[in-house]
Parts: sequence; structure tokens; C-alpha cells
Amino acid sequence: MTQNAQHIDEDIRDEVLSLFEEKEKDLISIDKKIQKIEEEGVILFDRKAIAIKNKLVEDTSVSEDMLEEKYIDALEMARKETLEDVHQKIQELLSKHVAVKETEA
Amino acid sequence: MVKFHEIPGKAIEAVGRYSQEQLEARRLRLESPVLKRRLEQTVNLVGEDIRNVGRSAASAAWKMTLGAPISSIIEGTKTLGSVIGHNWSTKKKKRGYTEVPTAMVEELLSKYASGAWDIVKVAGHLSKALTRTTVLGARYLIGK
Repeated sequence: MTQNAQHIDEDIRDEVLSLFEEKEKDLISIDKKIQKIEEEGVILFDRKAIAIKNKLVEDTSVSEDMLEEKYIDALEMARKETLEDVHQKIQELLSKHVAVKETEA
Repeated sequence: MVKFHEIPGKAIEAVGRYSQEQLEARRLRLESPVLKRRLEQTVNLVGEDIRNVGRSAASAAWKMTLGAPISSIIEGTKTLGSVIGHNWSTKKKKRGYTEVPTAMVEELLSKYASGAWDIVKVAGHLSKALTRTTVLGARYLIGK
């Protein structure tokens, strides 16, 4: 590698490093928020699954023959709802992030 | 309509006990090994779905934060992109952040690759910068 090429290589690395350093706080902050939403989503589904089971146990209008099928259907619905909820929260988070970036700009 | 006051106490107790047993039987049915497995599978799928959404969001956030629009890549870095793409495919990806530093470094490179460098030389330098970026990204965001 020529001296000039090495110099340019170091320049590139310095720029990458300083860019990361500059944005580190932002990146960590939004990543933590995303992870929190992910964790809340898993908890939300767990709660829904428990509620579904309890409701089906109590709801004797659902015959024994239909119990398993209803349970599986309800779990799938809960999965869909949970995903929609997570998606919506993340969209809100990103919208806020865009707004902040626009303000900064 | 059932007139409960007309039913002897023992009969009421029996009805109550029967109802409880029925509920317990329904509960046990919903806790069968087959349905337990089904629940576990669904929990795993939910986790996977959520992680996918999270990864996309993180990737979008990185793009916004670091501001490296792919559209700004100069024509010469297209070949470069394929070189980097090959490097990436051999790495273990923890999360979906890969394209972001790639875009960022490509943009940085576009400032340097003014034509005086041939593409192989540029790719070599860029790969090094990209590796450093990946290490940093992983260290900062995944805690590795």
C-alpha cells in the first residue's frame, strides 16, 4: 500500500469512527426503545394467551368438541393483534425519530 | 327457570361440584400436551415476527440517523457493493443492521473514489472500514 493510499484508508476509518461516535447516543437510545417494544409485545401475547384459555374454560357456550379449534383460532388472532400492536408502536417511534431529525436539520 | 330454594342443599352442592369438575375438565383439555406444544410454537412465531419488525425498524432508524441514502452511491461503487455483499454473506449476522453501515461507507467512499483509484484498491480499503464499522455497531448495539 502506498503512503497516500494508507493515508486515505485511515481517513475513511476516522470518518466512520467519528460518525459512529457522534451518533452513538442516538443509535443506542432508539435501539433500546425498539427492544423495549419487542419485549412488551412478547409479554402482551403471553397475557392474551392466558386470557384466551381462561375465557374458553369459563365459556360453556363453546362445546367441548369445538374447544381446541377455538383455542387455536384465538391464539392465531392474538398473534396477529400482537404483531399489529408492535408494528404500530414502532411506527410511532420512527415517526417521532423522523420528526426529531427534521427539527435538528 | 330453576327455583334454587326448592332444591335440597345436597343437590345444589352436587350441581356446584359437577360444574367445577366440568370447568376443570375443560381446563385440562386446553392444557393437553398437543395444545401446549401448539402454544409454544405460536409463542416462538410471535417472537420471530416481533424480532423481524424490530430489525426492520432498527435498520430504518440507522438509515435515518446516519443519513446514507443508497441512491447517492456513485456508479463506480456498484461493483464495490457486490464485493462487500460477498463479504457480508460470510459473516454471522446478529441483527439486520448490515446494509446500513454498508450504505454509509459506500457514501463516504464516493467522496474518495474520484476515479484516481481502481475499483479493487477501493474495495480493499472499504472492506477494512466496513469491518471496523461492523465491530463498532455490534459492540454498541448488541453488547457483544
